Amino acid sequence: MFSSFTSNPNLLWASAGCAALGVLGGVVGTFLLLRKRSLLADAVSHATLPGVVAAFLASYAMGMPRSLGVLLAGGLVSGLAGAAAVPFLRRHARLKEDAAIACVLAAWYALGAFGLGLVQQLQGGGQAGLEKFLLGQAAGIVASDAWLLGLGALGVCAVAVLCYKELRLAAFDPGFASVSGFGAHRLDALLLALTGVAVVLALPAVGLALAVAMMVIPPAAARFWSDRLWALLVVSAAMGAASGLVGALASATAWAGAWPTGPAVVLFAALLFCVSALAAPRRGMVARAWRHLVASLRIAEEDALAALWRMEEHRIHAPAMPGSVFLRLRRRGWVEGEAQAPRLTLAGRTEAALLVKTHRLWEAYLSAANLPADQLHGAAHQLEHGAISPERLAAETGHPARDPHGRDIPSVP
Amino acid sequence: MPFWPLLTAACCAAACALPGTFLVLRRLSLLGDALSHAVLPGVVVAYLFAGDRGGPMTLLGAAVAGAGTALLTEWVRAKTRTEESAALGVVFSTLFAIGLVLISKYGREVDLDLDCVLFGSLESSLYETVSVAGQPVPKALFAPAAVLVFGAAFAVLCFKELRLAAFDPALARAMGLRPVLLHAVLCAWTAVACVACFRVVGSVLVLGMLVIPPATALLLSRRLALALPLAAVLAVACAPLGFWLATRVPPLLSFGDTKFRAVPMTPAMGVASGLLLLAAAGGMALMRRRNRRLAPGPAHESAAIG
Repeated sequence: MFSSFTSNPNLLWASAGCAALGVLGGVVGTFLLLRKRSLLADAVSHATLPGVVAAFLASYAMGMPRSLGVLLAGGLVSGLAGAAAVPFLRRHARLKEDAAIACVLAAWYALGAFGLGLVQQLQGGGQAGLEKFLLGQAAGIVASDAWLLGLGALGVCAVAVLCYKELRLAAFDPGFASVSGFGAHRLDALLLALTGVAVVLALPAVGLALAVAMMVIPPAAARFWSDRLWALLVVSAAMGAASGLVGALASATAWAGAWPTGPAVVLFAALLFCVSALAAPRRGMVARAWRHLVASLRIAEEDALAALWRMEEHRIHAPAMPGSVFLRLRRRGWVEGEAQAPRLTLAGRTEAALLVKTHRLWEAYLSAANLPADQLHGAAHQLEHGAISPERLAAETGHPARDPHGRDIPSVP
Repeated sequence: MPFWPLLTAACCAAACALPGTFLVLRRLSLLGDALSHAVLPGVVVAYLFAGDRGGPMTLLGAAVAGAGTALLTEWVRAKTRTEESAALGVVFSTLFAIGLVLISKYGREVDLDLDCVLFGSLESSLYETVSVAGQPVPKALFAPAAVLVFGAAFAVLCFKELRLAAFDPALARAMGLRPVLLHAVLCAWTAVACVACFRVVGSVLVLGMLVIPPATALLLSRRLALALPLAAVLAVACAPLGFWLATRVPPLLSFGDTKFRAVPMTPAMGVASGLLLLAAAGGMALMRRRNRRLAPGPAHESAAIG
């Protein structure tokens, strides 16, 4: 794979450019994700089209050679104008945020396509070079483009570091940012500007249809790994860089059968998302399913133990217990005998009394909170497995001796 | 003014505006954009297995992909606790990427010509005609017209259910309506409308008609029974307006010795719908201002809709 770098210097620049793009999207996208505005990037990327087309027409009219920088600058202007139109439509057309974003996206895109209709009629040039803005063409990234992408990524990272405190405040608590004098509007505008720059730089590589993916998927994947903002930014940028690099290499080398670059980058990011969603330590699906299993086993054990205690209280012979529950309780030394006729041990009796005490204190507490008597047991049955200690409940309810049904609340030694 | 292109474009516009109204109401406007991308793998797979373009198998593939996108997004949101719009972004861009890879690997002959994707093939598709009652009717009209008729019938027959699910999903669930199922049906409907119109009028117009006329209609009327037909009427009105823009505006933009002729009509229809939205918003703002001057007080501050 690496020999292809030496045989094809363009590949080096394309991969470097895609990796820089990944960092850019990962950093900006994290703030968008936390502001719940991920799809704003989609609107901005579609809204760049009229600007790109207008810049193309203008440079044709003035007889200038086509330059990527001019086209991207045009795209940036119209993308930001589209994003600025979103709050305008919300206020004056009374549209909800999503409808305003979708309307801007569709209207600007239509305007851009209208312009493309004009470009097609130009002599000679035709629309050569413009279609790559729609679907992207990473293979076309040359050294100067890669430098542009790298500088853009560097600039965005610098702004993120310099304005870290403000952006963090705006991401988690825009209201507080406002009253602290940072001006939520100004911070939103800053985030928007960063989004515009990131989208515009992404256009030549992945195209406007997939630019949004680079700002949504890596941050969403990083979200599984950490709750801390700085870690989120680092993981998201790393994932973006990795997908950019692997996507560009995959599309250039034979082992992926020469996939188009943009889709290859996006699919690798999606793969990272799937792996994170499954395997991340705390928020991953496997970890959550495991925690759920452990908790339901514990609850089953506690219910079985408390049921045994109640049987003793009423002097009834205990019925059979599921074998697996019995085995786990016996391993803890809380029951003895056999699953058909389990008996509590001394330690088990103490443990069970504590559970029943918690349950009955909850009933007393809920009864004081005016819950109807016929719902007390069910609600307390849910709550007794929680983290609130019986001491605290006893203090809250005034150390009652009996529960609302008139049964003794056991005292635990 | 050419009759058949206008009729075909108007059919497409209205066919998209109907499901779009429910999307805008349910705050799912961006789902239209997402679905129009996400149906790509369904369309390509339908083409690879059945070998038809724009026929019933393609529509079936689109419906499956559309409903699948909705269910997958809901599943990702619920199982991974990813924020809703991010979940949608992840799902649709991944599906779109899969579709592009499928095309590049297996379907070079799948027609993903840029012009066709953006502008559709309204003008050229009209040459294939079928004789109906002695009149030559373009083939391209049938799929959009069928989607429009079935969509309108569905909207009328299931109006109560759709309205309930749009305004009060909790009540809908309590009444046993299965909102998830209705949601999937709505997405399948949207996807079918997208694909039926895609080849004829292009992605730009489909995206526009899914949100802009519905948003305009919901701005003008707060009753769904009025807004739904109004959205369709506004969408239809975009056809002559767009035709006018497409033929009259380009010559005005000519410079030097570059003379512009008419551009394709479908993007111009999208622009026209945007202008209609602006006009409606301006008109409503003027009316609000006048009302406020006549009767000051907060009573006239109506809640935002959409």
